[in-house]
Amino acid sequence: MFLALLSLAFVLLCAPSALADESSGSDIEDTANSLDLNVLSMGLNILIAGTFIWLIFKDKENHLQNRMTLVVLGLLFLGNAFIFTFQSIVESGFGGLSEDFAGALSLTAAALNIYTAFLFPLLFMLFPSPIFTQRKHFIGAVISLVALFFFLLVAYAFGIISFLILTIIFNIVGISGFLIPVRWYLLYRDSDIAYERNHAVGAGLIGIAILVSQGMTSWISLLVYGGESHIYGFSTGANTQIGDVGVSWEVIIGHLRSVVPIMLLLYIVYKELVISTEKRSVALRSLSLIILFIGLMNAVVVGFIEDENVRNLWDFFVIQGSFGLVRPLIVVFIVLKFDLFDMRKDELRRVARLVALLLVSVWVAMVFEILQAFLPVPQLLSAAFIGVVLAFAVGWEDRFFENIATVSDEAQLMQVNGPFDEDDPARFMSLGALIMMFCLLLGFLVGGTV
Amino acid sequence: MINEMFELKRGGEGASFWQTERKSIVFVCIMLLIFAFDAVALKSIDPSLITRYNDDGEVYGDWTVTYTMNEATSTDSKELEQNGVLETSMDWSLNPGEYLSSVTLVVMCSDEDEPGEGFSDEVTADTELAGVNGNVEEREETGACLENTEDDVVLTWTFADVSLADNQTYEASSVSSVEDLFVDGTTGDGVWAAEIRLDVVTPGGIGALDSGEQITATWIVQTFTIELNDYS
Repeated sequence: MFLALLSLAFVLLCAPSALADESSGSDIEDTANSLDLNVLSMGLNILIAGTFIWLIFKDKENHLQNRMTLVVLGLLFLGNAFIFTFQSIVESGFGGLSEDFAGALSLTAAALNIYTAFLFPLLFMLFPSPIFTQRKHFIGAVISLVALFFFLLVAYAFGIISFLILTIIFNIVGISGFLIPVRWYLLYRDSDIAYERNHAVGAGLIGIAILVSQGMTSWISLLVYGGESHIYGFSTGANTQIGDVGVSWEVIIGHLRSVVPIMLLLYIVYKELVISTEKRSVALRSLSLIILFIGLMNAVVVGFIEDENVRNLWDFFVIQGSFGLVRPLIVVFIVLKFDLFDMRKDELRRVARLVALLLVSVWVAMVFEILQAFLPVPQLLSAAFIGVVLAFAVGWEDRFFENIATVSDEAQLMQVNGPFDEDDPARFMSLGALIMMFCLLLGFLVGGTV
Repeated sequence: MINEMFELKRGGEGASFWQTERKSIVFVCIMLLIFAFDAVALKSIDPSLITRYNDDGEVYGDWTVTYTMNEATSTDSKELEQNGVLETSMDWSLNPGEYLSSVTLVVMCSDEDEPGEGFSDEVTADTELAGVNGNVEEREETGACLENTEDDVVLTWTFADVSLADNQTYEASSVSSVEDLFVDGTTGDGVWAAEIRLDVVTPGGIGALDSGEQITATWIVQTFTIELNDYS
């Protein structure tokens, strides 16, 4: 595991420059090239997916509910890792990909995107606590999701259903899933019992972590003429429906998938600001305010910045970065805070600390890379800044882990055994891997190279 | 069964369903109201204004593409003797919205005084394309001045594929994505130049019969403009 982590760290440090052939990376045009960010996001997601999968199989004494949550998170990050990998390959070109091959990879990435979106409801069904207590209900829900995923993907790929039908079904599933963390948060955030409040805080954190990529940062749009800035960013598909006929129903229905996350964010911000001190969650309050601030910046950039490079860079940072860079950080925090693995075991704790350090290092490097695009900071000074921040981060990481380990005793969640079988983690990992293989096959079938 | 912490609280001990589920009901109602407002507001937006909110200010549609072909020619002619050189060139530029389809150099020479088969004069065209915009390959080609043939050396450079505009349809596409199909035709203007050299093939003893030839070099530049019509 240590060797694998060191290898990955080496790849993360070398791959962006090897792929992008970027000499300085100090101006906007260089950084606006999203390849570096894609490669870095790919590395981060592989790192986290690998860690979660390792934890699932290494710590078999862990509670099944926690292991199942880690399985879904692992599959989610693995899916994202593949998406970023394919996007990086297509973008770098690798000295000349055939049009068919590049098209197949792009289609596979699109199919994997839908696959990861179908993992959201599954994750919300499991965390903070399983919403089903009996196996038959849980398995029934999973089978329904998998069947619907296959139906939508195949039916749309082969032209059996229209984009409108796909949008409607996809949004019904998505919104039903999004409402699960919303309900947890609404039910228990005000509760006088700390145990119940943990569920609300957990739901709020996982809600932001997952839904940050679903238009949460476009919250300003709710205040402006029915959500006009939602339209910004629909670069393909729905956007083509905006012409002489006006805004299509695909776009309007698609809005609803952003409305729920935005409402959740705004409610969390309000609630965390007014809630009494003894019930306050510093993490949730800080996180919600940061996302709120990013949304404000997003509106300023979209509304007032004319420079195409700055807009592209910002758009990538907000849209792609939200699930490539921000989500991993929040999810790792949730996993540590809610004891999704046993931090008291030395080996697990050592690996977790190493991963956290690697995560912080890569993240800090990436943030400075982006900052360099906007501010004319010399490379040497920037490197010095990174060194200083990392020096603090290493010291902070030690205290952070101690703190988390202490607090974790108070972050208990309801544990439910009923829905799971001992072999479920392995079964679900295999099922997830098979579905990803299917996405790859479908991408190449429809892409035209097979 | 639903987790008891998550299931709907149906009210009890005097509390109504509304009292126990007030927050969830209000949340869903606001969500539906926003959706209704979104639908009404977005559907009432003037379509001509909405395009500015696209990623790139693009206009999207279902396009039928047609084209209009234009041709420009330039001819130089000279009587050449052994190793004589004709320098020919054509300087032109693309107009806005115009795409280059092809450039052709045709060299004609008719060896009418040849004594017979195997004694034809040869003409060599050597192009000089440093003054051309874009990366265009220079070529050198030799041909025989056969009697009664029109074109002895023909060099053609192909740029944009005009067949992509031959009543083709492009569904759900932006204007620029269609125009990008012809991006290869946006370069190639500038100074096209060539040297035409004559090599008189003179068998011993009968040289007097074959003193030189009339050489004609013609540049043909084919360009086209496209028209997009939204058929949706």
